[in-house]
Amino acid sequence: MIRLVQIMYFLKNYYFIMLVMIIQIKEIFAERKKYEQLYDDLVKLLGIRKVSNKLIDRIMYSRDYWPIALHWFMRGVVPAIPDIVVWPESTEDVVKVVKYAYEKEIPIVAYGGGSGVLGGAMPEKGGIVIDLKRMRRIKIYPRDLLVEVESGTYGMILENYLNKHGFTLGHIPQSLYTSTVGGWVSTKAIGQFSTKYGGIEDMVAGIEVVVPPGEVVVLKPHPRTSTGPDLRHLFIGSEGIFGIITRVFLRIWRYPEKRVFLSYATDTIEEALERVRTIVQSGVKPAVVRIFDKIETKKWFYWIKQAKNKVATIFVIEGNSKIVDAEAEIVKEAFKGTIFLGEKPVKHWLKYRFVVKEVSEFAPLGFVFDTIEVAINWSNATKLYYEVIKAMRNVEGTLLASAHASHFYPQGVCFYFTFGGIPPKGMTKFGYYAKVWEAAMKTTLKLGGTISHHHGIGRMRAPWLPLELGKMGYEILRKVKHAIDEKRIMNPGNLGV
Amino acid sequence: MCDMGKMSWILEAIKKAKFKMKIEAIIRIIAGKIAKPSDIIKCALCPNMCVFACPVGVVDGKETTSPAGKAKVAFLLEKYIEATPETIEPIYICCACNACQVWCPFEFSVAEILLPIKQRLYEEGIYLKKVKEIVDNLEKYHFVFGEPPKRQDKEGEVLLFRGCVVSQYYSQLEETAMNLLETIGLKIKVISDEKCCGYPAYIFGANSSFKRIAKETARQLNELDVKYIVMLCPTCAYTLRNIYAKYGIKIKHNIYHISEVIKMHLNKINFNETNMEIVIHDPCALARHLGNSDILYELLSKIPGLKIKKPMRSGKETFCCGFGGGLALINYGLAIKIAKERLKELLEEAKTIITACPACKRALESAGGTVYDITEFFHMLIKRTD
Repeated sequence: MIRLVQIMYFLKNYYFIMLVMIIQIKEIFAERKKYEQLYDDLVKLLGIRKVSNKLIDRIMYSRDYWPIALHWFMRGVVPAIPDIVVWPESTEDVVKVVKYAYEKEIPIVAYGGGSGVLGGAMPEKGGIVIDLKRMRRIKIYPRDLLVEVESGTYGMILENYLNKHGFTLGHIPQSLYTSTVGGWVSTKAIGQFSTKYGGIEDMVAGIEVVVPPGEVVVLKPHPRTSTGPDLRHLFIGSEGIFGIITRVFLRIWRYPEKRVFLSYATDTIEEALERVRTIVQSGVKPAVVRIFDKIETKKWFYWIKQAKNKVATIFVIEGNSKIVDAEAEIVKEAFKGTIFLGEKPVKHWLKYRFVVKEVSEFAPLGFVFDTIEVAINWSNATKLYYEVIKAMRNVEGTLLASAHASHFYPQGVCFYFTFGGIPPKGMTKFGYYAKVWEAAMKTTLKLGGTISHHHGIGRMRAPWLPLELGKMGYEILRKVKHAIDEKRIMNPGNLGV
Repeated sequence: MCDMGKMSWILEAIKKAKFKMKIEAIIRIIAGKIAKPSDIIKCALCPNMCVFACPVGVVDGKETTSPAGKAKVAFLLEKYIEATPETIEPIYICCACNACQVWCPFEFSVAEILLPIKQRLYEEGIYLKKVKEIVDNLEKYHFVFGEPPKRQDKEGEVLLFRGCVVSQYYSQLEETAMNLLETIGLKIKVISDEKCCGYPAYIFGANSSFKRIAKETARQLNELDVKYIVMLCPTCAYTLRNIYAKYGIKIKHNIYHISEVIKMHLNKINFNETNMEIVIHDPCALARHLGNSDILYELLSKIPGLKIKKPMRSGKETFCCGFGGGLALINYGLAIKIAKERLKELLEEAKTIITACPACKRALESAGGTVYDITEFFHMLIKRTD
């Protein structure tokens, strides 16, 4: 039964996307007239500067950073295309668009930085793309350690602004330069400093969402509230299927007064994992902990002799100086007997952690690359690492399968896998790509892990979501979706609902 | 591609692959090294890692005009879509401020990597109407804004090159600069028929026009008997110093921006004490293109009592005023929005803004700011012995 559900979803999503939705860019020039009414109506509502039905704009919003879609782009193929793009400048603008779309039953897809990697912001059924990047006001409440920020604000601008005023959010994903606050919340993102500061769900104190038929939900920022189910969590990670996040209140921290950098080399990944487990279970919260497997140690630290053929672990410990000193001592104690690599590897990682160039370098040569992040409790962590690597390698065409562990909890760990390969003869890029994903997802589910730690579901992972949530769990998600969005206009098809 | 050390993890992975796969991977890498993926496709495949620093990317908020978005448009224009005024417009929506370059792992300037396609389009007669008007002005009058205002000649040993923006909008700034430079002992020469450096033609891809204009300007300057040339506009200085050199066009005199000249003569200047509070707006052309990211702070810190503030984005990471790269000539509405965005950030620090570029002054003043060029500010605070 489970297999059948999986096949159905697979067919629904991929077959549909590949054979029906793919539109040759050259062929859609002829379709433009059909959208005139929609354009005129939205121009009346928002003004001409906030609306476009130009083909070139529509193409630009045909996908997010889903890696396989990059290969389609190079072939001049778009996986979907919106009818129109709008750039609201206020919550009121968003309300107008949602009201209009609800009345006319037009699909809406919210768009932030477009850095999602699973096709979540892909206007599969056309309609309206709402790009929120013109909504970027920021206000700090220093006494309450809160920041109020509109959802289109780029992460790096928010963090720089907070730093300038003596604060930090502590949310530093690799996409910091290109992702937006709304994108973080709607995908339930996490940053590199999560072991101390948590994921975005730990930071959202209040939220404003526009839901069909065009109403505004405001959940105010309280230190804690016991007022029934926490509705904030209905929207965090909802990937645009319920409503459009327009504004959030985030918990912030005073800028750390001290930082300590430590790094070590061990012989195996299990040894490093075990030592980090003792650290996080003792209550210590280093901001950054990263364990690189042997391949990724070579990638990052090829220039360090002592790290050759080893597993490197790096730490950034930050905050109040007295606490930092005590935490550093506990980390040193836990890594006693391993090779101490000093501060340099950490500084090197800090300097280059935002360099994203593999796709630009290798995709044009026909290599297929992607990353898959999953999480699992400690008991099965090592097994999951080895089995997912093995499963990805066993797919014909795979040249590279590696991982690092980058987010740690007293209960378990997130593994961030990378694979790269060339589709074997007779197989399309997408065919190869889907096979690797299937291998990783099946292995994770088999071992009791969760299929996504922080990238979300989008369209790529949708086939496995019913298996993750179980029949009733998935049914509840579907029913909630349909209760909030009775006309099914909000990012239809995303998460498979 | 990366150096071999950085590539070693991939090469090691390839070594372990089956023989057939190994050969295929090696062939693709070698073929890639020979064919070299274009800068445009590399940029188009990036997730836009510089966009938060891009004034157009932030303020316009459109994927289409974001840095990687423009590269995507250029890629599509090269391969898949017809070039029309509508499809080509996004590639001109750029301040050419090179903020992207600071954050790019390949160190690309989007403005520079877009130039070849702009040049091809222009040669094929496909351009925006406004671009054509500007280039026609340059060809006809050697002046961006049409017929230039009349100016007087003045004899001296150092040429003051005012630039189009000063000629059109800030004749007072020219006089102030002459006065300041003469106060520090220089004999300033100006010419009535000064010719545009040609930068707008360059950045809009009108290559043949640019070369003609640049050669003519160089010929005029090379005929002058002066010790060196002082430019009021850092973009003009960058053009004469760096872009001309790329085209093999030589200027026999040294070219300096006025801030560099003030720095050379700083020991001759005494200032009156002040309790003013100011904020620095570093012009992109000075801080990034000419590499003088700290010069304004260095100069202003010599003024006793002056309280100097820096905005969130300053020095090498400065945020464009919106009028860079000729954007105000193409899309004034967006340019002024960027100027307002920058002004808001500057006003968080202080009410008085100091910059060193006439275009920045004009942008921030048009947005409602109180702005002094460093020339005016120094002229105001210099201690005179007479």
